[in-house]
Amino acid sequence: MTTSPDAARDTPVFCCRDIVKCYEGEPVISGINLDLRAGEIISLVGPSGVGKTTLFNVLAGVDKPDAGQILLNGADITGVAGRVSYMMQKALLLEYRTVLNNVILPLLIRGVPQQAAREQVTPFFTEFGLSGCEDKYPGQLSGGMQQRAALLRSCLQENPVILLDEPFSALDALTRRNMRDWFQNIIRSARPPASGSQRLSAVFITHDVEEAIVLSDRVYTLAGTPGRISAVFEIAAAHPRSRDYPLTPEFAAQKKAILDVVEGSA
Amino acid sequence: MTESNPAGYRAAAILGVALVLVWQAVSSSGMVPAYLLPGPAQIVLAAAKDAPLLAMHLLQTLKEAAAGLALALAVSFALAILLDANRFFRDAVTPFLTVTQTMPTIALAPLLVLWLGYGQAPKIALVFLTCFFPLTVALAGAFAHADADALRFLKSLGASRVQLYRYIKIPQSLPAFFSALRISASYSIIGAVVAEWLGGDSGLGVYMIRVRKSYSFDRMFAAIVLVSLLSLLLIKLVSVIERAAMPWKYRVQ
Repeated sequence: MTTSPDAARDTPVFCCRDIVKCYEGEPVISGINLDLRAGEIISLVGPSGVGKTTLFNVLAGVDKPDAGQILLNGADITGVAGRVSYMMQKALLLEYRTVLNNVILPLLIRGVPQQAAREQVTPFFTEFGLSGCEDKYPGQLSGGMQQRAALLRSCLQENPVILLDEPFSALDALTRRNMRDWFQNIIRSARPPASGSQRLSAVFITHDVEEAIVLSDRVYTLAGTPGRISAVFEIAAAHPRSRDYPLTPEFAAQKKAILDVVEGSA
Repeated sequence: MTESNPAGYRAAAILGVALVLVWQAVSSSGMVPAYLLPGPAQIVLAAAKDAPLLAMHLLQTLKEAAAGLALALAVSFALAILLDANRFFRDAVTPFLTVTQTMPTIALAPLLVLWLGYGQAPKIALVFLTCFFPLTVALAGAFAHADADALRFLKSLGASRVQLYRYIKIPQSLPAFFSALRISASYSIIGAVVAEWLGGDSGLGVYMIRVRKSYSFDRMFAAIVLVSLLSLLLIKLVSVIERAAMPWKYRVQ
């Protein structure tokens, strides 16, 4: 086999194999397989309670799976925290730390001294539209700004993969749409230092099928008890996708196909 | 709390002034003999006359209260972390902690004097015993109920146990800690006075024993008022420190 430029692209940067997670002996999720190649965004959609957040806690290494394996660039990271970035459903900025002190947390945990961490992080505040917020407390920021700060914090973990659990669910429709565009740009242009100039990849949980189609290269639907992958949809449209993309017949057909699976199983 | 509520303060001030006036009227009318219930004016005069002596005793009481409270703070902080971090330790020690609170301090004080002598040691010990429990319970409770999502988030960053305390558990325990500290601060003065009551050569408790023996109840009341004022002042001081320690609570909006 010859090494084509596609060979690197076809090797997943992050994948999980046959993940099972039980609570009190009952499996909550079972037989989960995901593949994520460098620079890709994939989405998980499915009804509440199907185990999406449970899966994320396992993928992030916060919880250990009862069976299965998680690989990052071929290395087994099952049950190891801190190797992939995780942005939880709530922005989870600590109310008692200023925005700057919240954002530098990943660096402090890694052992970077406070002053050095602040200097390293400050330039990103402009890029993330957060300049002037450094010394405010999270309670003084709007929902959208808090979400930006949380995303900046996740990106500063410098991991090649980021898990996002409904990052926009708390925002109003307009803010949400702007954040989504901005988020795509950030994810698709970022090259975290720790990844050796590999492009950033993201796994994304959402309730919103439209949002999933707009953002993703691939959409996985989860269904059943225990939760399993019920279908996988490739979204072929090229990036960046225009704001009119959701108005195309191609988009409508994708949406109908995905909704049929999600609602059919609900 | 009626913190920063001027209308609330005004109502309380009006009631306070009214009570003092009624008390003064009753005492001036001669319905109750002055040696049994001295009037406010008489108490103020007695306090003024004894001011240097009262100041000396007050300083002694304050020293004992501060030393006992500082000891209680250090011990309860260490104890709360041990209780939170180690399940075996928690299961083993919790019942005994509760038992220490079932013993009447007034009965314990003479024993402490017997064991530790007439110096400052038994007073500091009694202040410690009355103060450490509310602090320990508040801290251990707050550590145990720290936000689970925040802890999970920090773990997802790869945080160590020490980092969980530093960035989550300790800062999140501050509101509960300061509530307990307000209680402990006022207990500390009462604890010191109770211990002094049972022996020693200075402190407001000693002063109270002496004036009681000479039936000068105006001076007794002066000491009581002083103890109350001191406790109120300490509670206020804790509130001031609390505001400084938790700027995010008072700066938002």
